[in-house]
Amino acid sequence: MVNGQRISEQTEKRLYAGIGEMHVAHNPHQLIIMGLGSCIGLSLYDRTAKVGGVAHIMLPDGNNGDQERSCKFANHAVPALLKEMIRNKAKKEQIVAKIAGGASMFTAIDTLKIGERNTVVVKEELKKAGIRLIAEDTGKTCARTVTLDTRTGKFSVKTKEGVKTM
Amino acid sequence: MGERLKEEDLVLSPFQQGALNELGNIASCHAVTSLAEMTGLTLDIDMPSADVVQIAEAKEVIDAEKIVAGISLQLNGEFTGNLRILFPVKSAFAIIDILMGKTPGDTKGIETDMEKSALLEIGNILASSFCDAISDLLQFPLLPSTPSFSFGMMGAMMEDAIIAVSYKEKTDYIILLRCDFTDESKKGFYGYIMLFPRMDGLKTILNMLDAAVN
Repeated sequence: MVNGQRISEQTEKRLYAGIGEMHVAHNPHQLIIMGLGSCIGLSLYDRTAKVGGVAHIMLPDGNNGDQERSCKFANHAVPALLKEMIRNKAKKEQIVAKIAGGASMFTAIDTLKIGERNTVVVKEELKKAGIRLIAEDTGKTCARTVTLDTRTGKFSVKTKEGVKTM
Repeated sequence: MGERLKEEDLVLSPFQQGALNELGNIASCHAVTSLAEMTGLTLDIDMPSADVVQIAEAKEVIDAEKIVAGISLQLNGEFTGNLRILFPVKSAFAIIDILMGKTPGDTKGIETDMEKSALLEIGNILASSFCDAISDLLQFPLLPSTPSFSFGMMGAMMEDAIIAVSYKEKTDYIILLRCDFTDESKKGFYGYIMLFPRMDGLKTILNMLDAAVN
């Protein structure tokens, strides 16, 4: 079904990344992460190739074991998503990053400060990989849903107050 | 730290599954009864469930974007865990109306400390009844911590609980004991109780349940 497949590739799809998962897709698909709390939604996008990728990162660092595609830990997720982007014909020099999340939902008992640490480690990893971070919406106590539109690279962040596009 | 927990390590026998369900059932019934007594609402509980959930798919079992008022407590005793009591916006407003003696529909936001305290107190009472029931059943003390309040998406609150119970463990799975409750006479009032036991304490719970029936 060559025809059938081509149609389905052109139809806009919405791909949801669960905790510790990543998705890479070409124009025109939408990549979505719902209900981010202290986790980080990392978005990478190459405007020329129109390839985008998101990762739903849960913890700052840790050993992933044998699961190569897992994005649970920031120290593993950044290189893993970058590799997947390049495998999908994105050029490293053209890739820019946007991040959202890293909130502290329950401030009174947030002794671990996971959200804050997640944000720091993701930024460090991006710097190490040589990827430019061009927008961020992190911290505070608000939950966020993020959507990366692979047609335009627009990264929209939805909170209970409304939607803003970065 | 041991080996990574696999799904097969978490396969519950029918007995264990039933026992966990029952534990959740009894504890939730106690908690919901205390809420009903305090608010005068007629509350029904839906069939409680105890499930092994893959972390990557965890947000699919709930409505991740639903805005809820959430109360979070840590449970400490022979096992530890994280208890979440969640109320959708309108139900949270209804509880505040009742507790603060306002006309139904008066509360339109959760801004002031009074409103937050009202919900925290509800969380306290529900959690205490929940823990008492488990303590009675398994014969050991289980105590809730002071409650903490948050207002936002349900998915984010779940994420937070998953991190709290699994960040030290090598696991891709969590156990979720969940109970939904509603007031059928007053359409639209509902809430959720969710218990996330810490994974290292799961064996303890199962052993105690074994001992309790034998």
